[in-house]
Amino acid sequence: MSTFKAKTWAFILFLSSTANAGDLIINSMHSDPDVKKAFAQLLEDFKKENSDIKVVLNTTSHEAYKVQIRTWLPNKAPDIATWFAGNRARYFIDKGLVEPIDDVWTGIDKQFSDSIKDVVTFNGKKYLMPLSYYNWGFYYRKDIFEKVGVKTPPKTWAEFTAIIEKLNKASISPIAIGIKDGWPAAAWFDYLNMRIHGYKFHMSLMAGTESYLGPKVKKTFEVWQSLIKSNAFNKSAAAISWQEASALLWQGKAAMYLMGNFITTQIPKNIDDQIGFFPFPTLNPEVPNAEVAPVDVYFIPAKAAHKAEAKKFLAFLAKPETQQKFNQSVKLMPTNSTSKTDGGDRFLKAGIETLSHAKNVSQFFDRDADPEVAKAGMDSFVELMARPDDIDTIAKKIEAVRLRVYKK
Amino acid sequence: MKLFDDSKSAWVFLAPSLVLYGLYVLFPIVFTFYLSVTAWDGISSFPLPMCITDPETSCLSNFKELFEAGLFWKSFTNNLLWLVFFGISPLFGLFLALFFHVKSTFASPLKTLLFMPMVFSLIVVGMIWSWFLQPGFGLVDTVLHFLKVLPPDQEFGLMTKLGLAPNAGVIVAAIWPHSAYCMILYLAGLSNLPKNVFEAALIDGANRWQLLWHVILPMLKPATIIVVIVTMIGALRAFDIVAIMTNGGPANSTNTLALYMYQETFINFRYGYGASIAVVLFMISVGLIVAYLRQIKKEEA
Repeated sequence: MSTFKAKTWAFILFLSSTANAGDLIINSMHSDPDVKKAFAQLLEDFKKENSDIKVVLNTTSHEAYKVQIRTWLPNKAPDIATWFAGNRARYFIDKGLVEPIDDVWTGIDKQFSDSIKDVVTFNGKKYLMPLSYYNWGFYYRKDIFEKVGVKTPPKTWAEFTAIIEKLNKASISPIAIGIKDGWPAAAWFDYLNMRIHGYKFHMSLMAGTESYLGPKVKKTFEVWQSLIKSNAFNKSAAAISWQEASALLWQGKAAMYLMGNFITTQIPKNIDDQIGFFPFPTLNPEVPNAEVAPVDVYFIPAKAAHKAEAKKFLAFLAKPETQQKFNQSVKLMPTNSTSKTDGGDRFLKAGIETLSHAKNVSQFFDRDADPEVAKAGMDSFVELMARPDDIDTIAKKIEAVRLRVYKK
Repeated sequence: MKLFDDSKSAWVFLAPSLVLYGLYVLFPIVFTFYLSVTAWDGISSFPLPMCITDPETSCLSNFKELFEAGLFWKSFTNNLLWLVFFGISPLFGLFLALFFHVKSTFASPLKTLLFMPMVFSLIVVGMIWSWFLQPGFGLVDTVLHFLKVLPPDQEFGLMTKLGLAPNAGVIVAAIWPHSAYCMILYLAGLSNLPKNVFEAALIDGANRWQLLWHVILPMLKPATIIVVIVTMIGALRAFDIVAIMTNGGPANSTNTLALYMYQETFINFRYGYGASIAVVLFMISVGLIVAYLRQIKKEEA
């Protein structure tokens, strides 16, 4: 009996000691098996260099994390948390819940591109440490392009619409899209708006300082509307998910698909060499190029208990070797530009090439815009795609939410 | 010698469940009412009512906004659609129960088959039906193409439309398991009925129709009350099957009040506003059920 008691006490002491000095508690939303495995390896490497720090990792699913972070961040925060760059992070930063980490950034900031530094800097201070990002663009069927007589992927809007016409004549749905969950439609808005009016205007719109009723947004909607009316998209769009839409591409029922690079892990083996990539074509030659490239970041909560250890960890994350090893195994791009990149994967290569021409990167509509405006926006985009007649009513719906949110 | 008098001992025995009921049912209801007069975002410290933090706003401004929101009325209309069309399932259930309330070698395997969808979780039912109705790939498309009702280059686009149409797909999917549930409740009711009453009615010269209308249905009334209330609650709290099949889309066409409440609370993080939707939904449910029970009592009196 007494040994049992002793063991119990030892266990209780062990439990209570897990949050002692020298510890590092990390809350993560990267529950995807591949990413989880790669991150576990990253932690192992970190422990090798810092044997005095004990790391505790809590991984939650993506959607649950988004809800729960609001509970623990202002109260009992971990030492490191994963999050998104851009306005999604600004929300917490403005509330004073994130620790500035300019000291971690000193000396290494030359290793990161301006477009990356731009999305981790708020009011002149750096708050976030980026680990990986991925690009968006068109994934297309080389064999179908060849069949309808297209030699090279389109660079301009005129070339792009000409291909759509050719595909329609051949009774192949030109562009696959599945908007049951709204967000894939938002990628179209992001790109059209950035390609027509440039990154700066797009970001002001996302930050709530521009109106959705202005002539610029109207122009964006008009270009989109004419695409929809020219039968560029599959009719089933509103009822299918993004995964089901990718099946249209794999089956050769559709020829192009605007998606994030994560889709390349799902390409069926038998058509692997038929899938190619091209960046979103130029619409307005006068605006500098910007791409949608969501950045995954890590930050230290203002209420963290072990900030010194956390900063050591972020410095480790920033290292080119760390970024290279992690991203190579999950097929993402390292944000540290001195990382040697994996030459094996042609989509990663194409992505890096695309982003090297981008002056800025946006973080995707639902990360850049306020959550409520984003929801109203995505509902409206779905409405536009299902019934492309009435642009004004659609714009008014988003504008009403924007006015209410930014009045507060 | 008595340790307690009867009422005291009753309280002692009731205490454990009363504590749990208070903690998990009564407290959340009261707290939801409280939240509905706040503008809590889920991240700031404990919320005070809006009219205290800002004397210029009314404490009921969540409700004011709600009744002015197009999305609220759209979801409310959809819930009414649910009440009417989901309300058909008791009829199916009654029909099936009367049909299968016979002893035969074929009846019980058939009954088991019909009861199957009730055993599936609603999420599975939703998945199955969204595959059935999938434009291009789905079972409905395949059958319509095979029967040449639909030209091969066209798709059955029920779920891609805006407006009321996609609600049909969702409600049909929900009727499937619910009819089975109603069937079971009615079968239980039927097996409790005394046989001699039927025989007496038949001897008195009642035909089958009269037997059903004047004898069986009145005696099934307790079962009917349960079935109707369960169906009303099911229609008003419609959430899971909508969430999995359409997530309220396309463009909110199939949104319901429960889903709208979820979206405002956990997607838009407006806990106060979400709570006000919950309060309205609670009021509607209680109102309808009380009205129905009163009607029953009046009929009995």
